[in-house]
Amino acid sequence: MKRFLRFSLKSSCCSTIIFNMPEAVAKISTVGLNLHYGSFHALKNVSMDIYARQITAIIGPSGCGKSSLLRVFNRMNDLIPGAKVTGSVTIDGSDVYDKTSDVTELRKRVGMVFQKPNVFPASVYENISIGPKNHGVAKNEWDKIVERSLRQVALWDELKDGLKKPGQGLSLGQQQRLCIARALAVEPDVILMDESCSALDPESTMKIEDLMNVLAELYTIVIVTHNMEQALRVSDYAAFIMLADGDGENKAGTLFEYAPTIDLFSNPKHKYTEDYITGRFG
Amino acid sequence: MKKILPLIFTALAVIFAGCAKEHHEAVIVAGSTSVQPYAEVLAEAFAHIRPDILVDIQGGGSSAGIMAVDTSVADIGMSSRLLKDSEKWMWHVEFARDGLAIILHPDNPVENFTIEQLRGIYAAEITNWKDLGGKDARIHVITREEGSGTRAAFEELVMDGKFITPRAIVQASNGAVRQLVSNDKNSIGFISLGLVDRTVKAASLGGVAASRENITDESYSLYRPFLFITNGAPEGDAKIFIDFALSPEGQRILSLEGLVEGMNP
Amino acid sequence: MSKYVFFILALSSISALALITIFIISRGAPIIGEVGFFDFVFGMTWAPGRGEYGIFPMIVGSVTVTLGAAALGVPIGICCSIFMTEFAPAALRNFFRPAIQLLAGIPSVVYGFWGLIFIVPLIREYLGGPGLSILAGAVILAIMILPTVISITEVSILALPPEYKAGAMALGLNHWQAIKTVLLPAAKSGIVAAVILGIGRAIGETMAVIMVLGNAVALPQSILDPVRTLTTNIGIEMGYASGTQSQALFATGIVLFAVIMLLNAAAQFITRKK
Repeated sequence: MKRFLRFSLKSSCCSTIIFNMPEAVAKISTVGLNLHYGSFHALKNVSMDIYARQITAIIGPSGCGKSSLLRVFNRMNDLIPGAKVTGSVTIDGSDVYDKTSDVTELRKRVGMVFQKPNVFPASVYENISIGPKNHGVAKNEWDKIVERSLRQVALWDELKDGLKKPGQGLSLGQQQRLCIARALAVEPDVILMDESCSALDPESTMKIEDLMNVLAELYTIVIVTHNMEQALRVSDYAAFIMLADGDGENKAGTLFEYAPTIDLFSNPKHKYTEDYITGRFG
Repeated sequence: MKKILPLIFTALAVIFAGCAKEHHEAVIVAGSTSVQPYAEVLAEAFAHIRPDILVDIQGGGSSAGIMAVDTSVADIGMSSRLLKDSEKWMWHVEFARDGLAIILHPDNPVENFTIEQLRGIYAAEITNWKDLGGKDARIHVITREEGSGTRAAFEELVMDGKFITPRAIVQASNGAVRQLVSNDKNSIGFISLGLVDRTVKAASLGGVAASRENITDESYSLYRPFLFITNGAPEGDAKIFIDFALSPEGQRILSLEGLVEGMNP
Repeated sequence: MSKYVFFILALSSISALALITIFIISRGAPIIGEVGFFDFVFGMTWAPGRGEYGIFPMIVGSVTVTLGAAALGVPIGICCSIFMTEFAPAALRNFFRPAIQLLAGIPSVVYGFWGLIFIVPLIREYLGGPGLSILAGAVILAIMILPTVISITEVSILALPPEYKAGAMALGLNHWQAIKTVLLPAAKSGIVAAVILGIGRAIGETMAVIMVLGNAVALPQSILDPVRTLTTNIGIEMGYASGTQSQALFATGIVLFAVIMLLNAAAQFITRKK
């Protein structure tokens, strides 16, 4: 959907470029976000808003920090030794990195689907019910939750008679949808998808892209993709993270341009962005 | 190189051939495995006096040893039991006695048993020390393994046909029994009198203490006779060895090993 | 030419197995026939001096001591593996791992001796009974099977794809929940194999337990009672057994053989199913 946007550019040498949309509601906000892996500066001064119930695509060349940015939102970087986050990251206004907050609650709200389907070696039913089970949901609720989640990913009719079958016996496309269902079972607000279609064939990819559009009615979705056509097809907003600028200087992890997808792709503000989108590098 | 090898072999053969001692045929002593270690100690001392006489000690059990003498396979038989009537025709001498001590933990208040009580304990009819005037505690019965001569002696001298309880703890040597009794306040066991030391105490039987004197005068009845047996009166090297066993020197050696002097020293 | 040499050498190891098997069966089978299979395996009295050859108390002994060892050793072993793979910093891990391998290198007889000096008096003092007991054997064997259980469980956990853990954490599970509900079930077949191999080791142990079990021939009535296992029965009586008794010991060997073969087959089946 097209939205009227307004840029405000603050000019100073270490500039923060803030992109915001007055009409849209920000679900996740970062201000001056910096991520270090030990001495490696992976994300530099990223300030952006992720809008609620929109699909935001994070694009950029390999190694620019897209997945790292995604992992900031559900604190999966915490599992990497030496990872350090500074700056502010808020979801619905509350600080994600607050030391007193429960990271497991955060990850319930912000679900993640990975590049390769990582279905657990258990039945379809057990895969989906594992989340609710560990979050204290009563056993008699699980049947309902399993059905609801599978319906949301359009797998219910296919699998309803084989819920006890091993999840790893499904096709790759089905497995990835199962992973999405698994994430949905814990009732998140946000779904992060880290190149979730890159291991799949075109037909499964299409099914999942359709799924994304349906889910965006209810959930905030942030995807990382290296597929420009996909970004164009599904996303409302696109954030371009760069690796090095035109002079070859290392700028990995810098948010270079952020706009509604249509605008970014038809009218990129910088040549560099245009070069990437049109495939001249990447 | 190839020429030297046969030379070396021949040299070795000559050397080893020279090692063969020139002496009479060995005296073969066979029988009870209980007697065997003591016979070996005697043989070792004997070798210093008469290095020309080789004494070869073998086991096989009392019965086997007696039969070996009967069939002249062995020169001397060793027995840890009295001869049966059918065997009594053979020449025999009791060269030592092996006392059987009933041992308890030194702190155990009980010090004396009657034979009936001992039998009752080992048949698991008496199960608590308090029935004997001791503490209120279960009796831990310790016995030797089935093939043990010590156990056979105990069964014969004490049990009078009753079976030792299957719940008894089984240990495979006198030393192991003694160690167990010395550590467990509620235990009872039996070992060779010669092995009793300060870590355990030997109980008296019917008021009679387990001592060498009481075994010699037979007031303490738990002992095994150690016999040497020959087919006909001993002669030649066998006689020399038996005489050594019965001599003061031989008896001294045996008593150092814990045996009591026999009835015909 | 060398192909034949290798073939012959390989044959020799198989033939050793065949020889032992044939030997044991030929010596032991007649007595099973004589005494009767059921009277042998289920007979309650072992008294070779009286011609009684029932090994049931020994079977119970083997089973209880082994199960006791598993009950003690498996949970500790699994927890240890989890600690080493999931919680321990690298420095601690590099200390623990060789230490546990050292445990595996201690000779059985040393375990038995240590058990006699240390464990048996403890049991006698604080729990009662003579100390020589099923419990003492179980404790010693639990320690002895720890290296087996730990190393195989550790390998199974480390072999898990890291994506499982990532997926579990991303669902909002805490570390312990992830281990308990995702990782351990995923490593299940490896853990089961570890347990079975540990049990196989325990059931075949003789030297370590012969000193601490008490070797009573009666059926035990509590874990504080002295007991004999199939292995220690052979170990104790071997020295002086002859004739029928010796055959009975070989027959005990046949039973042991059968049990261990079954266990090994089970372990193979489970790991192959993966």
